[in-house]
Amino acid sequence: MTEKFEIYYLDDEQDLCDIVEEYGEIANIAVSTFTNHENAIAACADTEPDILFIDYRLQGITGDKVAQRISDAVTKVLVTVELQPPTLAGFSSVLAKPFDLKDFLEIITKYREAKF
Amino acid sequence: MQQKMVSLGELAASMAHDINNPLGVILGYADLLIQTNAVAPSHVKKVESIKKASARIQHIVQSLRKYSRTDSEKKFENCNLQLVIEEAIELARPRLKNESVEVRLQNSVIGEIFCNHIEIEQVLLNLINNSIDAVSRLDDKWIAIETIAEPDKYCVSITDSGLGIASELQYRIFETFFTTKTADRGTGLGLSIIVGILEEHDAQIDYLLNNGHTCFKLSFNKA
Repeated sequence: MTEKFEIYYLDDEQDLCDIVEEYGEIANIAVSTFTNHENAIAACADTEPDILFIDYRLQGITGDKVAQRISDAVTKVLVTVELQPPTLAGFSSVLAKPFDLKDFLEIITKYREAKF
Repeated sequence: MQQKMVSLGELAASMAHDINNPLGVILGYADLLIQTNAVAPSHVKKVESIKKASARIQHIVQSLRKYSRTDSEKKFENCNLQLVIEEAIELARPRLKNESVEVRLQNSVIGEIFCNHIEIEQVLLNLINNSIDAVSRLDDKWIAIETIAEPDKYCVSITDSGLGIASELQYRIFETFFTTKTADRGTGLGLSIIVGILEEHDAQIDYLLNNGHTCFKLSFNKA
């Protein structure tokens, strides 16, 4: 991949962040991960990613509240174990937990192809 | 009973969340070991087995998770009866395998009933679990599930290799808290929950002997 396409992933489970970073390396996609939602919000304000993956159940806050604080220009994907998430407002897609590399790349490919 | 269903739902929701995160770590690292060729070819199958086992846990958790919907969200709709039966069997699969109980699906009928499919799935699952309990100590262990289309209704019979319920106990089996199981295996709520759910569906359950074996027959109006 030569075109710049940047992914942010927010989840308070460090192991899942590590896994997603490795998925990024395998797929040659720039992936930055965050276990703290304030850091993720600050990073989005600084440099908008193409996609922000947000886990629904975060420490002290839910993913939809985080999404509300981020620019509409950022494509947001809700990552969740919920069969029926309480809200999908502000999200473009849902990635069901647990997921593997194939599931993760499917979503990225969809938005990447739309961009380029 | 409604309160118990809500509590079960809350427990299932909490379990789903607590299980899925560590499950995601197991699945993710197993996936990475394969994707990065980090394991010797002789071990790839073992890692694939970890992935498959994780996928099965995921399926079971998702199935349990369905019960977390509250009554306010309860939805009645036309459902394919055969699919509901197959999903209930799938939920019981781990126990069936552990106890080496064979399931015989007979005379499958493609037809629809108007129901809340989660609840009917639970009815079938409870009956299958009761059958597993009943036959687990027998040499001949099987459960036969048969669907029959009658002019206005579909009947599902669940027969197991058990030798029936003692005649002096038959009239009590649908009573709340009545059980023949030991305290660690039965609360006596299973059949009374089933009766409650079926009443809401204008459906019926009957106990009968099928060639000397224990049999419960469910009758549903056609959609």
